Amino acid sequence: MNRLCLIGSTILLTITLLGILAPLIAGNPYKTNMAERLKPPNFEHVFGTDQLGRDVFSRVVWGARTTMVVAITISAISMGLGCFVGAVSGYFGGLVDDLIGRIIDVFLAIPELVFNIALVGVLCFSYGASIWNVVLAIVVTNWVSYARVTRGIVLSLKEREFVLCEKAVGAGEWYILLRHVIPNAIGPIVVLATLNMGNVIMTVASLGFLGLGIQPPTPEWGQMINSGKDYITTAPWLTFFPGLFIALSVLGFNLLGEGLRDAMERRSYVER
Amino acid sequence: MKRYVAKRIAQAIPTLLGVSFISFLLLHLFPGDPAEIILTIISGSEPSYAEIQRFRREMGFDKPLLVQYIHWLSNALRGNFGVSWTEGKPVMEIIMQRFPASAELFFTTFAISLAFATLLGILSAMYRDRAADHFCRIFSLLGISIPSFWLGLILIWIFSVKLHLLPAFGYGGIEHLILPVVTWSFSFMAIKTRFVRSCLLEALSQDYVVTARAKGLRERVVVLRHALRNALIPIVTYFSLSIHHLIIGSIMVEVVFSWPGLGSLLVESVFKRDFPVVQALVFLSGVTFIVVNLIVDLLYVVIDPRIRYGD
Amino acid sequence: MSKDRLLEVEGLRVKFRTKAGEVKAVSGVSFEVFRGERFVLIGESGSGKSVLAQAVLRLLPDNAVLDGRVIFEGKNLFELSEEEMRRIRGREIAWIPQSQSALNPVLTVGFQCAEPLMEHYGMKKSSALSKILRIFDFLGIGGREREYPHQFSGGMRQRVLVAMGISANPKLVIADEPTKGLDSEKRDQIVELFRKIDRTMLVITHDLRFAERFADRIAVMYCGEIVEVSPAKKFFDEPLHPYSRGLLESLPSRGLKPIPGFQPSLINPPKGCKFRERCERSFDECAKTPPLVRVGDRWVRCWLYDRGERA
Repeated sequence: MNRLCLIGSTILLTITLLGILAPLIAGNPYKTNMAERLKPPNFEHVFGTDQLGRDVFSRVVWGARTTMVVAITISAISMGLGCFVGAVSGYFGGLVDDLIGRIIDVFLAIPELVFNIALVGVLCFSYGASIWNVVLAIVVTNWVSYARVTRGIVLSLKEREFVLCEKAVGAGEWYILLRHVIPNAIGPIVVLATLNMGNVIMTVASLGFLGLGIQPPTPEWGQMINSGKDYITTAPWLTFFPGLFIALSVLGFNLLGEGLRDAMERRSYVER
Repeated sequence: MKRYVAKRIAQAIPTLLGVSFISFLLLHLFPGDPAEIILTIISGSEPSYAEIQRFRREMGFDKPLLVQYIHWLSNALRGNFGVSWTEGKPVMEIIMQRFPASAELFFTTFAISLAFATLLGILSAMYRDRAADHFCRIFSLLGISIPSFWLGLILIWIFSVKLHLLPAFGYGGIEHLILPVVTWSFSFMAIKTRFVRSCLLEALSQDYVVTARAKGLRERVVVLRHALRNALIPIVTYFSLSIHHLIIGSIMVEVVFSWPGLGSLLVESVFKRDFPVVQALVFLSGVTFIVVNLIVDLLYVVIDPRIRYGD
Repeated sequence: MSKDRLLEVEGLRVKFRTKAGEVKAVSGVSFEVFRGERFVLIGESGSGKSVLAQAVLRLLPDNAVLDGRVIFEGKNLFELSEEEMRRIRGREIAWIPQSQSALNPVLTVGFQCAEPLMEHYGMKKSSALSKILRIFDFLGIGGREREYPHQFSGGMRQRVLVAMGISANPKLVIADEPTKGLDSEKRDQIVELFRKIDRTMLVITHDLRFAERFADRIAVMYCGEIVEVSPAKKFFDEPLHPYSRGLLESLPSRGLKPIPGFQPSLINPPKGCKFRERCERSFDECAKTPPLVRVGDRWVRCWLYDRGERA
């Protein structure tokens, strides 16, 4: 295990652990206490309190939960959709591939966040504010990278000997897909998923900061910074801690992803 | 060469149409009667049945979707995105009004980060030792991990609140420009530096570099004249793709610093329910990307002689 | 009577430190190249011949460990500073690389050939180019100096490489696999082309037919060692080393009889005579490493010829 992986995993493990143990260690993120509002970090409130007297540490830790759950949901759905479309596109080729390719091009042309913002806006207006709006809006732009990578892998595998062998023997298309294509695709997809998680977390936090993401009082890092920024002069810790955790989680996923990518490249080097 | 140019343009058109269609669809995702919904936003109160019917006919909502799309597209291509639902002014006018502020921020940041990233990338590729390698990697990892809005706020806290050196927000002279540019450049530069470096390293590992050294050329000539010229090709590609980073970055930075540009316009319009503006911005950002890519592809003709004199 | 030795290689050893282990590419090679002669070094891929050529010019990557001496006109090249070495490359010793990707795709061929002149003689671009024009005419690619490498066919590109090599009037020209991938007709053209080069030449190749037509003297490399050195005619009439014999017999014109077995690994080379496993005439003594022994005006590394006269 190389160093990057190690550092990345450690960071992530810590944060995930915090999130899981939230009920045990982090108290109640919703409890307001106007007498204690805007207190700087001290023994009782390690990260201070916010403008409604809520404990920032508690909110940050519970926020880890929220963020992780939402991010994983988004990634999972994007992966399912994207990989399926990519595999179909790469494997069957021809017109199907062309059409799907064009669709992918269109989605690539519009900057992701722009579309996310627009879509969240429309959805929230039409159907009310809901976490699912956020999930849907991000999935719509996020599936594309999975599709592209999967398609690339499938294309390269299509030409490899063992696939041609199987075809010569007369194996069915789905059999080949399942037994050969997918196991080989797992490596790069895992790397992509890891790096993508960082991306998703950043997007969720960005939307939260803009006020378009997960709404208060549910704790979410981006949204906490949004409300915190009004108090930047008097209570900078409201901005500092949530942001720190955003940076750490994204960093963690990026380190892990890079480490995994390195490990995979080394493996293929040895195999050669 | 002409075939290359024609082919690229031909490829761009369907994508353009796709982008326009998706932008168009944005306003047709509302459940229920669009005429009623829109009128409510515009007038601020419940419209009467008659008003709704009249509006529907005026806006062409009674026609089939495809007809509406074509109508919208032909207008959009002429720069007519309709009238704002809340400001009463033409959408294009609102956009043009906010455009200069964005442009100012954009070009300043682009120029500075381009220069720095290229310089740093070249230096760290040339003096390829352990320290530079790690520094580059760390720098770029930090650049993509640190949320730009958080960085902006921290810089505001340091330079504005604590040191009282720079203004925290607003649009005005150079002093207002500094913090947004620095914030934005940081994330932008981090990725670029790493990329310039890896492109250059890739070029330096090619055979023609060995040949160049075998001719006894000075190292500086080898790197700049031989390797860099070739590395420019993927570097230029990458810069065209980074239009996205720029646009996305501009949204966050403009919101943090209350910079009256197009990024903050997008967010404000979403909150105000002024969706024609949102739609126009989505469409225009897609178009910008396609156009920039096309320009870059055409630039290849200049940079890469294999395309200029190719088959 | 000692002819003028232009290049003397003494005990050259090259090791590469890789993730897979230490690759001993060249293990104790010694030979001489006399002024004015055409010396051809024959070896199959993996024999270390390309590495040897690159070692002379000190163009090996950083993970290479060099040992021994390379003496050019009385100076030990390994003792020179990088700057001094750089001035020798291209000007005193030139390199004609294998054709594939040795030319920079974004620079004109004329310019690339003129670079050594501009660098080593301080010539202005225009005067350097006019000299190149004449060289191009001489080599049969007249008038094409403003074209790019991709516009040349393989055989024509070879001429560009030759022009690049001789442009600065070097004393020694090292050519690496000049006939790689070319058919017999093109091979003859290369022989003609090279015959036009009126310089001392060291050619690295696995092409026996080329060697037969071009060489004055031949050296054979196997598994990082020189196993035979001989005047060309004598070599082709009657090769001494069993490996040499095997090489010749594997030619279509002489029976197409391949040498059994495979080349040993360079990471864990066998002890004793490296050809032992594949040799039909091996005997007990071959378990010890044979020294290079003189046989008339030839040298051979084989116990079969050891009569006490050592190198």
